[in-house]
Amino acid sequence: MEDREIIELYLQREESAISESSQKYGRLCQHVADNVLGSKEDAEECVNETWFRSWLKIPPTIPESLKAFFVSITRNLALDRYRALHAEKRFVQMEIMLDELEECIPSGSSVEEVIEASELSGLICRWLDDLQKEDRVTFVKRYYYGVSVKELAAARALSENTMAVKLARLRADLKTKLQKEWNEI
Amino acid sequence: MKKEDMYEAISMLRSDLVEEADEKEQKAELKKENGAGEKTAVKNKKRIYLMRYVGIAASACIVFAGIAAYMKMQPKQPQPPTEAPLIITDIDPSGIMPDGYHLEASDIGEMFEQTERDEMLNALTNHYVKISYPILFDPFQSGILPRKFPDYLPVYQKQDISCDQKAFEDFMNLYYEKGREFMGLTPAELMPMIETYGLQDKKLMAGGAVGTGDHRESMYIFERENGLELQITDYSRLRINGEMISLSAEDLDDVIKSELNAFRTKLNEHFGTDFRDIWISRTSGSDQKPLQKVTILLYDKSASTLQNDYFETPMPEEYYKLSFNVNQGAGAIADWEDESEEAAGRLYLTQIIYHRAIQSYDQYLQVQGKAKLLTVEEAEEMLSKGYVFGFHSCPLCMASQPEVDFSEYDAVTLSYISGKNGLTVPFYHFYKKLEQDSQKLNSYAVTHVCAVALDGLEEYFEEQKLNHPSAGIMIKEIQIPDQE
Repeated sequence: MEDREIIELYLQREESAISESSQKYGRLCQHVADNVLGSKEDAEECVNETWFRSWLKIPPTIPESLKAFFVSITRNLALDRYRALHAEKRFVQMEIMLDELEECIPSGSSVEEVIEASELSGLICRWLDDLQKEDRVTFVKRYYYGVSVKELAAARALSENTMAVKLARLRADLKTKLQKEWNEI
Repeated sequence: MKKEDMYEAISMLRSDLVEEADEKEQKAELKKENGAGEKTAVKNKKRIYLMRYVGIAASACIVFAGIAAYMKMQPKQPQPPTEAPLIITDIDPSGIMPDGYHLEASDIGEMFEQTERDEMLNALTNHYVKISYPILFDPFQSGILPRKFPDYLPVYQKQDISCDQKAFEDFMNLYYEKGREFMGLTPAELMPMIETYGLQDKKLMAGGAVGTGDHRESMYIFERENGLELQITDYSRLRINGEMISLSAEDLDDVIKSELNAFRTKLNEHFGTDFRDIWISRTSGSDQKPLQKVTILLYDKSASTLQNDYFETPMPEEYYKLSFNVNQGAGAIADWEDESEEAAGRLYLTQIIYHRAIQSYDQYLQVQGKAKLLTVEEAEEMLSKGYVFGFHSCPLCMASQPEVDFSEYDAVTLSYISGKNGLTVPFYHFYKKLEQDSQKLNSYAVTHVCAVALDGLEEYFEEQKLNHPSAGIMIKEIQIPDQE
């Protein structure tokens, strides 16, 4: 079913919107949540919650990309879940990914006082636009879809170590870019 | 800034970046690109078929003309009665062949939803053939049966038709206002509804919703496949100038028609139409509740350019579609929770659609050829072999449905199905009665056999079987809950 048709099911309050969403994007969302949380059961709960949240959001929201809409909700739910159960240190995947992302944060205490998520997202998008497609896709796969370094390396026929170095360079580049942008602000 | 903020910011990445990185999307695109060559090959093959039959028909015409000329020269003698002579007709200049249209089984497979994520091309093979959704209607009572099936019917291909932005905006400006007046809304009440306007899946749309809690009214303008639509919805029941319209779940068609007379006149007068024909359809819900929805089309049958009785629903270029619903049930925002005696057993008007085609149907559905249809006996053979096609093919859903034995089916009908690829082909639909519900409506399971002879049928279904093992594994892993 086309995305537009699924959105219309939501608009018309047809309960089949949920099953159609699940059929088309369920496995992708499950994969993303699983990548982040490393637990099938927790991922499943995130995905089920994704459909419920979508049901509440559409309408009035009309997503530009249904895939991005669902995955974003799943990612945020996965983060909430991580926060709630952080003390247990169960989510190794999430820990690793967040630690990697920490490396991209520019230094300077003023940053955390002012910058908002949407503004930061805009900066990251502009940085991604300037990258070569291969690097851009690698970054988004790793930090948006939560694909493991091992899988990314296999997809590009590289060793895990080479891929880790590549990602470290990308993170360093992003940090420089953010630092520069921030200094200009 | 914390690392979690970074994570949240990445959650808000632009959708094009997100789409670009999705591997499955890329694979699908690659497949699409590769598939384009195959499609051309199929088309070329069809062209070769057409040329072959043009050749055969032309040669036959010459032979026939020669024989006719020779016969004319002979002295007339009394002839003994013989069987009906073979008639070879001239080739129709519109491209309709006497019997020369050929389709590949894979073309039909492409018509239906595919679940590529489950590594399946089409789930409907022997294994899943007998499974289908129950539907609520009685082919005998609805006047579809008994019916004589034709020998030939055209096969259509939908054309890609879109409207220009100005046409959309003209329609939008006119029908927002008409819709507002019809619903008895003030301009101030309408304004918050006009909150989006833009492209969605390459089609224009505009509109929005107002209200909170259990009362949410929306007004949208949609560009459809071949049409523009005004859609007014309130799943907590539409209030037209404060008044709600309802039907009884037990109303027969004649009662519904007479009850809707006043409302139909009101619509016609307000929107400047003169629709006198009414078509009524009843459907069950996904949870197999007896009667969930009544859909009604108001239209003018004589005005349609497509006079083909084998479409399941009427095909007018302009119509109103009215949806009457029962309470949506727990969990839905539109649950109206009206437990009054007055509301019991009633379906309420929740949506009005006014639809107008961009192009007439004779432009939109272009005849590809006139196909010789299988006889019912031939179709039964296809059914027994499991050579059927279908719609929803999610293995989880299919496996959760009860199997139905179609060996002694109750009814067979013939009507067109339009596929995802725009191909519009006649199918035989075999019905098996499941049970009679409390409202005495019969519930049937249905499965579909392509009514046109197909090339490469056996090979296609053999190939499909190979895709099934993976689906079987998936079902096993997911562990389907028992259906109570």
